[in-house]
Order: sequence, then C-alpha cells, then structure tokens
Amino acid sequence: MTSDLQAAMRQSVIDGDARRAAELAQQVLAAGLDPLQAIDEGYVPGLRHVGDRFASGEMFLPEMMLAARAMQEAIKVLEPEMARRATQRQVLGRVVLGTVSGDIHEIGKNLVAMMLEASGFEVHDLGVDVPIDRFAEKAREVDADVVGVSALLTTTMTSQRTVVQALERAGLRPKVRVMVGGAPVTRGWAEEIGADGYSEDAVGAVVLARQLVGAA
Amino acid sequence: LVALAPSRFELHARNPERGLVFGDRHLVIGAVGGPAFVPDLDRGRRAGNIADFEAYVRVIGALDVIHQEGGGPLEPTDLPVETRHLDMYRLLATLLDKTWQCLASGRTVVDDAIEVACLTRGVDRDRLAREPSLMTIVNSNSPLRLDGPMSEGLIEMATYGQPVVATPFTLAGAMTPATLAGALAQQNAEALFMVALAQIVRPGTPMVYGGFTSNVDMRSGSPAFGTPEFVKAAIATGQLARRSGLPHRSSNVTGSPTVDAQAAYESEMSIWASVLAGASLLYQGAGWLEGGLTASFEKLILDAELLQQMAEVLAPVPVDAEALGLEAIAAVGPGGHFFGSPHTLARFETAFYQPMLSDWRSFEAWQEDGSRTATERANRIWKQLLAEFVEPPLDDGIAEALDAFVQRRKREIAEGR
Repeated sequence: MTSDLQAAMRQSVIDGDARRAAELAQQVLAAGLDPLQAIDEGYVPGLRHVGDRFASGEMFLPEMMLAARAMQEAIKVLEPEMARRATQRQVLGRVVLGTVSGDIHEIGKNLVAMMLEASGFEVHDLGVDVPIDRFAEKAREVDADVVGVSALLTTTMTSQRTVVQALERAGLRPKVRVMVGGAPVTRGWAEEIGADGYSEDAVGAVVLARQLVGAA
Repeated sequence: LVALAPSRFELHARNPERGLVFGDRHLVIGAVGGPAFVPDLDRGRRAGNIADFEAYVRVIGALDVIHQEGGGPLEPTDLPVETRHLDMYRLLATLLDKTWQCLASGRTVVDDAIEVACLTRGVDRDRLAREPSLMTIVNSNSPLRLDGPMSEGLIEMATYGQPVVATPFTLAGAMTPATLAGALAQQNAEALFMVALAQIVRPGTPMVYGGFTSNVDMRSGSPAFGTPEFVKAAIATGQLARRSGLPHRSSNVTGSPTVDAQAAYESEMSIWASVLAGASLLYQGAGWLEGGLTASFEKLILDAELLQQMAEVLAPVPVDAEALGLEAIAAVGPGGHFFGSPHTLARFETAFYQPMLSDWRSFEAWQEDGSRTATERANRIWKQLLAEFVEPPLDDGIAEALDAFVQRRKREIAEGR
C-alpha cells in the first residue's frame, strides 16, 4: 500500500468525507490490497487524530461524528472482502450498551456507541428503556466484555446499580466489566455501585473501554 | 385547542396572602427544582439527600423574593425512588406557606401531590380544580417526543385542573437545529402540542408556555446557559407566548461549575432576558448552578440578591412634588450637601434598596473584616437564615392528616398498589 493512499485514507476520516473514504476503500479492493491493513494503517490513524483534537478542544463534536461516519462507510465497503479472505478486523472487545428502563434519553449513549464502533469495538446497542435483566441476557448471548449502562435522570440512575447486581446474579461478574454514564453520574457513584468506570463523554468512554479490555 | 387555555389564572397557597397570579404583567419567581447534587462552601459537592433538601426548603421559606418553591430544590437520592416524592411533599406542605410545585413523572406522583394539596388546604378535588394550588414542569423529550411518564403526569394534572408548564427541552445544536429560528419553531410546536393535549383532557386547563431554548457547546456537546443565544431565545419566547395568548416561563440559568463571576453574569443575563421578555414565571429563579446539576446554597443567596435588585428595578419611579424635592434643592443651595436636609431625614432609611449580600465598604474596612468574597458572605447568610427560620403555623390536625396519608401511601406502595 502506498503511503499516498494511506495518507489519503487518513485525511478522508479527518475531513469527515464519507464518500471519499468509501471511494478509497474501493481503490483498495480494485488494487487487491489487504482490507485489514487499509483500516489499521489508513483510516484508524485518522480517527485517532480526530479523537485527540476533540479531546483538546480543537475540533467540534459534529466533526468527530462525521469522522466516525466516514470510517464506518469505508469499513462497510471493505467488509465483504474481509469475509471472503476469512479475515476479520480484530475486535477490541464486545460491548453491550443501553439506557435503563424508565429512561428514553439516548443522545449521549448513541454518541458512545458510534465512537466505540468506529474505534474497533463490536457494539450491541439495546436502545432505550431497557429492562434490567436484558443487559445480562445480551451480555451472555454475545459473550460481552463490557456492559455500558446509561441513565440521565436521578430517578433512573439507581437502576445502574440494579444492572450491576443482575450481572453478578447471572454469574457474569467480574469478567464482564461495567461502565456507566449520564449527566448525574460521577466517579463516586460508579465506585459506590461497584461499576468499573464512568466517563464524561464519548471520547472518554472509548479510552475507558480500551482500558477495561486491556487494550490501552 | 390552544385558545381554550386561559391567558391569566391564579394559584392558591396555604396562606392566602401568598397566592399567585400568572399572566397580565405579574412576574412570579420560582426556586430551583430537580438537581441531583448539592454543594456548599463548607462541605463541598455531594449527592442530594433529604437532610439538605429540608434545609434548602427552609432557606427558600425564609426568602420572600422567592414566591414559589420549584418542585423539590434537589433530589433526595438517599431515599427509595418509589416513595421519595411522599417525603418531599410532606416537607414542602408543612415547611412552606407559599405554593410549591409537584413532580410530573407519572400518574402516581401527581395523584399523591393532589391529595397532599387537598389535605393541606382542607378542600376536595372539585374545589382544587376550581382553585388550583399545584403546578408542575412537563418537559418534552426533544426532538418531538413526549415520553410515557411525562404524558401521564400532564394528563393527570389536567384531569384535576392543575396548571402545567409545558417546556420543550430544546438545546440548539443537539435537540434542535443549530439556528435560533429552527430551535424556536420546534419549541413552539412542542409547547403548543402539550398545551393542546391538556385541553383535550380538560378544556380550560391553565397552562404556562415554557421556554428553555439554549444552545450546546459545539466542541463538547455540553449544554451552555445564560448565553447570548439564550437571551435572544427568551425574548422571542415571550413574543411567541403572547401570540398564543398564554403566560410564559423563562429561567435563571448558568453553566458555571461553581459560584463565581461566571455564575453571576450568566444569571444576570438570564434574569434580564426574562424581564425584558415579560415572563410570567421565572423558574429555576434561585439556586440553580452547573447547568441544573446542582442546587447550591450560596447561589441561592446570590440569586435572591439579584432578584431583589430586579424587583426594585421594576418598581415604578414616583414623580410628584414630594419626590421632586425642589424645596430641598433650593434650601441646600449650591455647594452644600443633603445628608442633613429635612427632606433626606424624612426618608433616608427606606430611600434606597438595601442589599443583603453586597459589600459597599472601603477596601480597608472590608480587609479588616476578613476580606470575604460575596460567595463567602452568602455562606454566612444562608446559615443565618436557616438558623432563624420559623416554620409558618400549621393546624395540628392538618400535620397529622399529612403524616397519616404519607404512612398509608408508603404501605400501599410497598404492597404494590
């Protein structure tokens, strides 16, 4: 793979240009290059750059979302070829995500899902108003490494504790790690309910998830 | 349907003198409602709990510039979720003789509030519908959704004729387009939808058009408050509400993480915007901090000071022979002073607004007295108000009836009823 092509792929993600990212992925396929290498050496460095600049306040949230979307579009193009070669993108970990029952707030949770996916996690998003036991069921079904529990309301955040307890009852802890998020959630709360971590935003959630699966 | 909602209505307090008018040119100031955390200078930031809840309500009771309590100044997260509203209502109903707001998240919390209001005023539900006492904030889950619990709460309030503040949660850039025009168009649609829904349930249900449009920080996605965009949205909200013939709600908001200069200027911006907009209800009027995540004791005092000053700004300027004081001007003449003039002596004690928090002494006097900032002075003031607060008289029979009701409901809820 030429360094020009790599640089172009990286730039397409930084620019949040999904069409360009997909077009470059087509070029990779046409040239018979390794799709996995294209992702890891082309697109991922672009996303990492965007994540760093977002964290330092130099880039805006919509730019980060566009970058993640561009990355996803490129992967979509490359996926059939990866399947044909029986290679798989190395999944950093499997994450089950959801907003607890009684709560339908999802903007933050959706941003986390998008960033995790773009960063190489396999994400199973249960959506909103998720019954407590559903988290454990799904975690068992997909052999999850991490369960992410979102709650925006002071009246629903207590269910984050119930989810941790349900995972314990199901015998999934401590193997399955738990991260919690939402406006009223703090580090102290995460510790109190026995969760393994919390994050203030989607970029922080990716950093945390990487730590939890030992990929930091 | 929207036209069925009255342009003016009254809210009846336990103490008739503390009844409120929404609409016309009245401005009702409501306290902070709903935060998850509570900070003060002595103990720092902690999760909301029932002891702080009670103390906070007492300080609200002590501040006359706050006309209405805001639906629980902080969430007592140390109490079980299922029954926490009952403990909150019992304290609000007994410690305050002004009106208080109830919660809106579901049928049960509204129905229990209606019972508490009836018991406190000694009226039945029919009379409560004719003379409403409760009010609540119903937020739509923007964009364009009203969730199950909030729908139930709105319908239950309307069923019993209690007013609802229909407030879309429109933070531009995240929950609406990133333009004020788009945000306001969406706010208007969501607010009027809620007003219409209440009229379908019970025609004539009093409603307040809620405006809460602000913007997010497009770098981080965090909500921002007291911004120039908030000010413009608040003023436009007043125009939209008047177009629909409804009283409207504005807010005293700030995104500052602590009680500092930012908290003060964002709050002052919000308060001025609300006044210029002609708001009927200035909700989150005192205590709100950190984008609504915390209810601060010191901010409560800072806001009370800002609001008292604004109340004074809104008082008319008398202009008559006495006020003009032409005789005094002639008597003192060129080069004299007015400290000893009979005109001054007749009115000096009440001539000007006396601040609760401001310090106007010389630098040296301030320094010798400990160099205390406004926030540090506010800390002393709320503690003093709390220590001196006298509970308004309440008939023993009412207090007992409230206790009995709370006990009965807790049993019923434990039994799954």
